[in-house]
Amino acid sequence: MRHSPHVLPAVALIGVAGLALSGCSGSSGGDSGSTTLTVWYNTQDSDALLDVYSAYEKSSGNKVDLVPISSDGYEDSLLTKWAAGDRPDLMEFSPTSSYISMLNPTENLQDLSDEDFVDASGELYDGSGRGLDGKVYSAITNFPEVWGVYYNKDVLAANGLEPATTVDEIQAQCATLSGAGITTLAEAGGSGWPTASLPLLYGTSMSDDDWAGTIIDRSASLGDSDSPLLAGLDEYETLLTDGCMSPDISTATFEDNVADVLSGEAAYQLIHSNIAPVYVDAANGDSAKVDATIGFSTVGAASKEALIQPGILGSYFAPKTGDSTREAAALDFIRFATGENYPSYIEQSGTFPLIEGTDDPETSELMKQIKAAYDEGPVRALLQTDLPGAMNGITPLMSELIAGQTSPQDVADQLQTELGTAAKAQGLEGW
Amino acid sequence: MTVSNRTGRRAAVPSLRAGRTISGPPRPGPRGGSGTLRGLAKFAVPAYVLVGVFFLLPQVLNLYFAFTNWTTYSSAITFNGWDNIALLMEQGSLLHPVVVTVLYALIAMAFQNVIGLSLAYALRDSNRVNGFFRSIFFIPVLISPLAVGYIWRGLLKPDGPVNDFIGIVVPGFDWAWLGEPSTALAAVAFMDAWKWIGLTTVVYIAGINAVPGDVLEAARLDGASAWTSFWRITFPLLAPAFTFNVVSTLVGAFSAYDVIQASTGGGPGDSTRALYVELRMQWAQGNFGTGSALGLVVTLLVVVVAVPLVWYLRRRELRA
Repeated sequence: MRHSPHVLPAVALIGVAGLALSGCSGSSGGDSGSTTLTVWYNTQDSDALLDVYSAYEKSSGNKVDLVPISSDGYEDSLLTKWAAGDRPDLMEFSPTSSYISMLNPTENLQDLSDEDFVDASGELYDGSGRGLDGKVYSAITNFPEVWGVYYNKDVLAANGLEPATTVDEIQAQCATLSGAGITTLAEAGGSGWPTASLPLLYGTSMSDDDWAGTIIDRSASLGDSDSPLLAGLDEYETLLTDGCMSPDISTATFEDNVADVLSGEAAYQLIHSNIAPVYVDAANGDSAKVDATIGFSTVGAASKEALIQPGILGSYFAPKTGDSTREAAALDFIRFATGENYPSYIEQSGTFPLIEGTDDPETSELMKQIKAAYDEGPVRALLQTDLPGAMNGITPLMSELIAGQTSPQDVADQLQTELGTAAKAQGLEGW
Repeated sequence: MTVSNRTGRRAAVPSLRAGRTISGPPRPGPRGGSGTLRGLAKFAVPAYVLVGVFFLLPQVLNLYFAFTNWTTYSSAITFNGWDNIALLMEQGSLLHPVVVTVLYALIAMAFQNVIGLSLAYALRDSNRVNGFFRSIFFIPVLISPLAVGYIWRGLLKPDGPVNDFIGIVVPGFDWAWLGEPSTALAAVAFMDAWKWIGLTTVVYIAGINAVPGDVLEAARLDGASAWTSFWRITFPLLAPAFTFNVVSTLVGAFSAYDVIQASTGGGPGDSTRALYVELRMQWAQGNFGTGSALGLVVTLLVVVVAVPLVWYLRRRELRA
C-alpha cells in the first residue's frame, strides 16, 4: 500500500496526540459492561479498608484502579496532583472544613448531603465532613482519630510512674525517665507531620471553644502573647531543650517511634489512634504482645481531654469528573461502603462503627482502651480543623523549630501570615 | 550520539574538537539540495510538537501564572503583579531557597566533576577490568532519583551502615548526616553526584581517549612528568567535555528536587530546602501562584548562570 507523502507526519501527529491524551485521560471503562473507578488511597490503609474495594468489585462488577499516595505528606501530595488538574473518581482525604475548602468543593466535589449515611451517623456530620457552604462532601466510615499517647506499660511500672493524662504530667515524668536512660517522648522529625501533634493538642486544650472564631474575625492572632497555640509551641520547645524527646528526632520516623515505645527505649508517643495497627505490625502481628505492653491514654494540656479529628483513612470523597457514568459509580461505591458492606468492614477492621445499625466488633484491648478514652471524653475537635488553610504549613516550621532555626513566636507569626493568605484567597470577610 | 542528562532530556555529547559533536556533521541526502532538506524537515515535526507541548507551553503558562492569584480555593485566576514575589519575600521563602539551591549545585558539580574525572583517568584504557568497573559506576545513573534518596537515607541513618563502618575506625561514632544542618546539604549534594558520576565519567573517558597520542608521546620524550602531561596537555584538550559536564551538572542541579525530597524533605529545618522543594511546599498549601513564581525563579537562575557560563567555557575551548 502506498502512502501520500503527507500521511506519515499526520500519522505521527495523531500518534503523539494520542499518547498525550492517553496520559491525561482517566479510565472510563474497562471490560464491556463495567466501569473502572480510579481511587487515590493512603498507603497507611489497613487490609480491611483495601478489602472494601475488592468486595465492591465482586458486588458491582465494576473495576477499581487503586493509586497509592504515601502517608507521609498525604494531603500535600494529593493537593499537588489535584492542582495539576488530575481527578480520581474517588479519594480519601481529610474531612475537615478547612481541608475540604482547599478542594474548592462547590465546583469540584459531588454533594453527598442527601445520602442515607449522613442521617444514620448521629451528630458526626454536625462538625465534620462538611464544606464551608454547609454541604456534606465526605463519607466518613472510620472511627475518628483520637489524639493521645501510646505508652509502654512496663517502662512506666518499672519506674514507679502512672500513665500521664496531661502534657504537664509527661513533662514532670521526664526527669525520672531520663535518669533511667529512657526517652520520655518519642518524636518523628523524619516523618514531619507528627511533630505538629503536641502544639496542636496542647493549643486546643488551652483554648476556648470560640477561639478559632476570634482568629477568623481577626480579634485575635495566632502569635498573640496569650495564644493557646503559642503556649503549645513553647511547651514543645521546653520538652525539646530539656532532653525529653528522641535523640534522633531530626531523622526518626513515626514507625521508628513505634518500635522505640514497643521495645521500651521510649515511654510515650503522642500521636493519633489510627496508627494502632502499626504497633501490631511492629510486633510482627502479635496483638497479644501489643495488648500486654502498650496502653493508650488521651491527654490534654493540664487536664484529660479526648481531642479528636476525623481521619483521612476511610473518609471518601467523590470528585466531579465530567463523566456521569463514573460519577454514578463513585456514588454507588460510597453507598456500598456505608451500607451493605459496612458491618463486614467493621467486623474485619475491628474499628468502632459510626453508622447506626452495626454492632461493636470483637477487638483488641488496645482498641477498647482507645474507645474507652473517647467515651470518657470530654470530646473536642482539634483546633486547626476550622482555621483557614488548616495550618498545613506547620510541619516545615516545626522542623525549623527542632533544628533551632526559629522560635515558637516566629512559628506562630509565620502561621498567622499563612492563615491570612488562605483566608484572603477564600474571600473571607475582613481579610 | 546522545545520552540522557539528569533531567531525562536527550543531550548531544560534545566532540573533542570545539564546536562539533560526536554525532558528526549532518550527512548529505542522496540527492542533496534544499528540496531534500525540506522533505527531511517533515520528520522533525513530531519533535517540534513534543517540545512545544511539553516544554515551551508549560514555560509560557508558568510565566503567566507566576503573576496571578491562582490558589486552590478559587477557580478565578487574575493578574496580581508582583504580589507573589512580595509574599515569598515576606515569608522568607525566596532568597534562602535560592542560596540553598546554588550551594547545592556547586557542591554537586564539584563532587561530580572531581570524582568523575579521577575515575575517567583511572579507567581510560579499554580492557575487561575497566569495562567491568565502568559498568559498575554507571549503574546509579539508571536508578530512580527517589530510590537514590531512600537508599542513602537508610545508609546515612545514625544507626546505619555508614556510621557502623566508620565506627570500626572510630568506636562509638554516631552522626546524623541528614539530621544535622551542618552536613545535610553536603550529604544530599553528594547523593546527587553519586547518581550522576557514571555519566560524567563516560564523557571524560571519551575526551581523554581522543587526546592525540603523538602529542603525549612527544611530551614524554621531552621529559614531562605524568602530572605535567595531564595538566598541560590532557586537561586543556578536555575542554569540550569539561564544558558539557560542568554546565550539565551545575544547571541540572538547579532543578534539584527528588533526591532531596526522598532523603530529607528539605530539612532539617530549612537546611536543604531548595527552590523546587519550596515550590512543592507552596503548592501543597494551595498557593499555586507563588509556586509558579518560584518556578520562574528557577528558570531565571538557569538563564542567568548558564548563558555566561557556556559563553566563558566555549571561549576556553577555543583557546585550548
